[in-house]
Amino acid sequence: MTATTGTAPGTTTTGVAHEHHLPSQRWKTTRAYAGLALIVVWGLAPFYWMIVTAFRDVGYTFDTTPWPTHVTLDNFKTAFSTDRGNHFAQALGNSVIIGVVTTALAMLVGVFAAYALSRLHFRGKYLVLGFILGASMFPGVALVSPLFQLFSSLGWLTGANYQALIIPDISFALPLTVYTLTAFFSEMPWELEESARMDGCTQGQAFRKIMLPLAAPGLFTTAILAFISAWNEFLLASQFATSTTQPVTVAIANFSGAQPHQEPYSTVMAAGTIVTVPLIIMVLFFQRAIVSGLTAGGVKG
Amino acid sequence: MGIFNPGGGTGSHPRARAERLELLMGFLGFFTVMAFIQTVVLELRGQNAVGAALLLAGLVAALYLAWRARRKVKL
Repeated sequence: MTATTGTAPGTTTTGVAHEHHLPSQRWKTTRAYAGLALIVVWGLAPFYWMIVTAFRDVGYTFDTTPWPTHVTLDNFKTAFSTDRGNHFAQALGNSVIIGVVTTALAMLVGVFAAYALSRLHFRGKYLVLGFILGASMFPGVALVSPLFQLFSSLGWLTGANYQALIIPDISFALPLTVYTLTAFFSEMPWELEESARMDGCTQGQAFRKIMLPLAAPGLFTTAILAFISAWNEFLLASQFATSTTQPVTVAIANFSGAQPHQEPYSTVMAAGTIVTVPLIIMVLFFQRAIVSGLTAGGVKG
Repeated sequence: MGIFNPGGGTGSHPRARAERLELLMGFLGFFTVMAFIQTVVLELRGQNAVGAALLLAGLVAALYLAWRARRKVKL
């Protein structure tokens, strides 16, 4: 784009800037934006419908009007009400505990594993990466029965045993963490670490004081992905959670309506809306930290 | 090119080929270990283990082929 500097408009050197105004280029841009808009609408439509239904009076749950009608906050009150044996507020707290602990442990182990895999050269390094890739693709449903037997023999399926939910969640979050961070670390400029070593840092200090702060965007992104995976986990939680430890995914699935066998759709939608909020807040809160290209231009001369 | 796409864009390079084969061996190795555990557990319990054993045999064969291909790569 800098080709236009110091040259007359309309000449061949200004082609890059000029092409943007050609009808074909404009048509391409329009098509690209139309495609993006379609994807955004496709992705957000279920959430929009969830929010619309959450704010709609229970008598109009199946109303197909595409915008909010009969607006009420009753569904949110019902979601938090314990009259029907639902413990949504407690489940929210449980999900936070499970999500935070899972993310913290997965990140703690994942950072060191990923750093070693991307930085160190050792025999069978790619073998380990392949093993991690295999572990990340292992079907979770295959773990339900053996883990159920193991945890019940350990006495973890009663009372407030959060480890029965946290440990399986870590097994899913850890490959994701290692995988993402290894890719991130391998793209980092290692000259920075070498410079730190030359300035007198030990390898540990160079990692802690130089590489880790520079890797912050990748760490935050990975932490968010790990948290989302733990927050949304349902399959194992539905089997291993007790009434004390059940997370929101299980609590919502167990919501009971005003009548027996009645599915409380609008309450479920209200609870779903509430569950989505922490994720949005977290992404917005860490958005400033998730800045790509932080290391660009870090090494000069 | 990235660590999970070893030698991306230079597919014929021996080192890239070796790294890809090692990645494949790790991937197959994980499922081979899982199939082995399943076969042993089924055998010890006296349950039907034909399916698990056949799966294990297939994975071991695939792992052997990957290992043989890796050995042939001269770095």
